[in-house]
Amino acid sequence: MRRALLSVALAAAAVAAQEPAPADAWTEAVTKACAHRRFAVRRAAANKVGRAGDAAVPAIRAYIVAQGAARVSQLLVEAVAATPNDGDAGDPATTALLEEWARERTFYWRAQALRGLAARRLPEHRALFWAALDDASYLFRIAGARGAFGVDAEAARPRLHALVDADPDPRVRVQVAAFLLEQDDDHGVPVLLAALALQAQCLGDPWGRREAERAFRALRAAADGKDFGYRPGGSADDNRAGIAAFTAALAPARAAADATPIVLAREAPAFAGGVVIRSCRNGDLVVRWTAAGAVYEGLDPRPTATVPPAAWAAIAARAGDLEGDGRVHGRVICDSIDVVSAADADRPRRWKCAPGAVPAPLWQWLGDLTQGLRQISPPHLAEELEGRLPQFSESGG
Amino acid sequence: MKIGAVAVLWAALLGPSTAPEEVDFSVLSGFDYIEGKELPGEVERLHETEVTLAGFMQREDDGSGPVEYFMLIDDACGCEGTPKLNEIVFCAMPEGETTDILAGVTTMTGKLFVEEIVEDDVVVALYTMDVDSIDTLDAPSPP
Repeated sequence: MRRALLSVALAAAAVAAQEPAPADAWTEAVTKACAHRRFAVRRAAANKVGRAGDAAVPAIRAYIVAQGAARVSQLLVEAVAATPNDGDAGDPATTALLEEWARERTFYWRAQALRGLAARRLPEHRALFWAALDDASYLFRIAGARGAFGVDAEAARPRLHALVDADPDPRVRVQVAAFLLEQDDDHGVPVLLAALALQAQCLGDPWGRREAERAFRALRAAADGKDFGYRPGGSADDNRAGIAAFTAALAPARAAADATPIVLAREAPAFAGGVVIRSCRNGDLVVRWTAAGAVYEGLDPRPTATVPPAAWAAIAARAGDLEGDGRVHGRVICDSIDVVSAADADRPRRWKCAPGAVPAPLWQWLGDLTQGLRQISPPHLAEELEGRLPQFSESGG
Repeated sequence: MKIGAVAVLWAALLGPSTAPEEVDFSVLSGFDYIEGKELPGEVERLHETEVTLAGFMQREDDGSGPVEYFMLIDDACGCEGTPKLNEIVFCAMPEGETTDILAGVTTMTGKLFVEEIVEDDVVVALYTMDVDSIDTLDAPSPP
């Protein structure tokens, strides 16, 4: 019965996504793509707008004027970005819109827009792609890599190899390596092989498994569809033979494949809590700590320092007074803050909050945490937190 | 990882017989979905099966209150790309029940349906689920 009701709701969504009257065709479709309450409608409408190419751009611009760029949905940007016109005329209006979005640092989906430009491979975006390689957003770096390579592969190749070898975010290393392999560049094969064994999590988010699956898909394609018995989502033990077989099949193509072990996520002690600030605009900040106050930074947890015991004890005690309800606070569009605070192992507390939605007690505790982080050297984590937290306070900073 | 039933539990609605099958998104989304094409056997066989499935709850609309319907996806952020249809499970709460959108990884227990719901030539869902219970992973994970 419930499923029947769900089907009715979804069916209503599909009906709503039907072709509107020609006069308002794109205005109505753009509005649905951004604002309809049902995902299925937003998706169908966004795809329709994307397929329309330049014809729909005036309606998108009108929507932005009326509602603001923050109301443009990720679905719409992805759909517009994904459908380049490869004909002689290209799609200049769409390209111009994507470029404006990609250059606008406050636009939520600027990385998706840059990826659309990367698909178009226009030389005039070369500088934009190269600048993106140093951006704080890991998604922007990945999109920039695609664009830089697409415009001038030989010029970009060494820089992309450097990203694969040493980017601080393992997701960039894996995804640029996978992209290069699609382009018949096997420099990243060792990184992809290492990624097959990733099981790392961050506050419960199994990001390592997702990257392992990406690596698997790229390697499988390079191996003419052979999976060597590797099973995505399987344990490292289950997949040991599959990884060995992939290595035997693909690593010989790389002389340096087994020269140095690749570490995408280093070993770390069990974490007692952490803060993850995700931002499509400004990049992610990942800070985790042990029960003793040893602080680590990044998805590949780099040890920084330990907060002095007295200060950490006070922070932990105040964490014990917090009541976490486990809910998502506010409406998360892109930027969000995840906090897990465990005063003791049996009573962890979790929050996920949109900008402007951190409850006051948690906000005060985050201030305490920042002060604690000020006592370790280098102080950049405290400075990063101080810079990023204001958007999340209930008063908006 | 310790799993605690701290969120919402409708234990009375759970079926009394076999234990639900543990399913993960690696199976559900581990193939390139093409509308109308045959699904992998390991996915098709899950139709009308009682399962447990872990993922991240995401609301469909702009609101902020409890919901009767929601999406379960495999990505905490979703910023890397809007999930494809085989990366989303459209979930329905028991009739008359609602739930908050919960933070972190949540584990759904309920009956999974695997079939394209097509309306007016548009596939609007591939996976749907009648949710019986929701558990949260209430401890931070090891590194």
